[in-house]
Amino acid sequence: MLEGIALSKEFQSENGRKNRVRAVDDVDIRIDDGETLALIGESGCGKSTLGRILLNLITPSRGEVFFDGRNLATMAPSELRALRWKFQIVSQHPDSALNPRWTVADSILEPFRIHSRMTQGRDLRQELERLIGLVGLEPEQAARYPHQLSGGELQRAVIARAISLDPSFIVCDEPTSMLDVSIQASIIRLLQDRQKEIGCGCLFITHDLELAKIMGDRVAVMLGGRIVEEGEDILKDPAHPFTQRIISPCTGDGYPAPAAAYGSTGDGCPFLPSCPSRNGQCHAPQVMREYRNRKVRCHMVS
Amino acid sequence: MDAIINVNRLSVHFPLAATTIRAVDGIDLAVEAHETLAIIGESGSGKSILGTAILNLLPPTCTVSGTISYRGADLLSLTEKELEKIRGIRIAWVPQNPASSLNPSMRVGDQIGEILTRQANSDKESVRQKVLDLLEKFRVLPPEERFLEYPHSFSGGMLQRALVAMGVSGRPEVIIADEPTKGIDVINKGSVSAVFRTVREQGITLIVITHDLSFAHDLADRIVVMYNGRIVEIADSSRFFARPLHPYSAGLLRSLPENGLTPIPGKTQELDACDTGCRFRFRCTGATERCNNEPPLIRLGSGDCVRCWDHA
Repeated sequence: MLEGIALSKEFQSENGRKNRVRAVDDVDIRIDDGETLALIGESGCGKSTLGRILLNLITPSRGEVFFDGRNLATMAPSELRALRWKFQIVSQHPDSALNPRWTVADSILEPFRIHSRMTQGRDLRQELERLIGLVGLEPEQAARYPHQLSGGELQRAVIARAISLDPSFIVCDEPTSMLDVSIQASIIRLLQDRQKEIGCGCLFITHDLELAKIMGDRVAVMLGGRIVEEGEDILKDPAHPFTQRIISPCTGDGYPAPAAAYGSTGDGCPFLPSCPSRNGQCHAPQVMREYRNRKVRCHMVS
Repeated sequence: MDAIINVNRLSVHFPLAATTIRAVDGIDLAVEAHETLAIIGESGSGKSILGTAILNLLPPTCTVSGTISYRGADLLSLTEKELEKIRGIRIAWVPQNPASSLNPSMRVGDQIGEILTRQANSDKESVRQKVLDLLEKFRVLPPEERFLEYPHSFSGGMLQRALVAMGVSGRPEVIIADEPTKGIDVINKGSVSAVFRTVREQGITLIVITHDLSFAHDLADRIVVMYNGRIVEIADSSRFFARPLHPYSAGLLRSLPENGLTPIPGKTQELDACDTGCRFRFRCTGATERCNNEPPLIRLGSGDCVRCWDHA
């Protein structure tokens, strides 16, 4: 089980203090073993940063990540290294996820070399055969270099690498946004099957609402670095005005508010500039509240 | 309706050492004036090659046969000089991947104005004003600030809108857009659709190359489905999404998350040059003996076309 408490991340540009971006802002998140949390939001809302914080690839500015009750921030580097194989990522761009100068087979087997102490005695050739069989690659494709494979084939290789050591937790960061619909269907099916087999937790980051509905046991909606709504059926019956807006993208003329409108609301609600039912109270910090079967960050929902 | 672009027996082949890639193979297509046509199909189906062929921007390594006529001229046999008067001015191209299509070291406003500065009697101030109007129209806001910025400070959706503004700047008759929604999130996709609706309302003929089916549904009058270098179906958009005729089209729709996320079995095969069967037969559940001979593109009573013996 993976849990993040009060996570925040600020990025600051090197020249001058003015350009400070709060990419993740006071987020509580919890993903149980075998469970999938679908995280949706616009480009730039902080969903990838949140995923990387959970994997301990980015250190949060504030807040802590717990894995099975152990705080990752207070672990010794050696302890952390021994735990690393349990967290994996499948990224959006399969073409940059693999080393271009290694064969695909070398990349798939890299975890075995890194965690050699743990995997001692395993026959790498057999492991490779098992893994490429699981993800549906041909042996001759594994012998090639990344530039010789298509996007869908590469993503299969990336998945093979991610599941090679039976991880406890996988972040899938828009794994199919660069793929065709027909390829997307087979990759999603593959991810579902392998996850069920391994029983690992999964954070599925996407901006495709239909995929979020299919993949997520729960869905969390992110805006301006904050989770604004989280629960089981929130896309069918949204409570937060922003969730209501994204499930009906054809309202109005379809153009978004000017980009500057987001993220400039200080502590207030990030949806304030575009919210149809805003009022004076929206300028105050919004707290996450339980509401029926979900959590919502909006003072109007109670 | 009059055809504005007529593609006739177009083939684009890439000869390699051992084999020949038939990227586009014997395509006939009439694009009608003022319509919005979506060309859909998977990567490698030849849809982008068809788009680049219309602008005669194909790489020199390929062999081309057939004709593409536009207003009485064959675009494939015009000289570079004659093409310069058409490209970007009569027929504009909105390329894939906006982030790498713009010059990173040139201000966005200046790039959008490039076509305008090349036109006769254009002074700096009138070009600037026209560009500002375009930015305003396509919601690249605030225009005065965005004009002076460089591409890296734009978001993906905004870059795509700026590229469309650039495409429209020369007041073309036809716009060809290659994968305009690739990698753009749902919320910003609404704005890209809106931009193209604005373009359509100006009476511009629009050819959208995409594999985003919901975007095609949103926008197109007609759908052209390509598979493995061939057109397999040409359909009225509303009929297509309700009742696709070709097995590949039906498979595509079934692989959408909202329709059950069922993948099409197998994968696209590189076919031998002497193979004369239907190119989808190895993945088709309804394939029979007769599919070893490829059906022609069969014209139906409604004017739609489909390349499948089931509809002969």
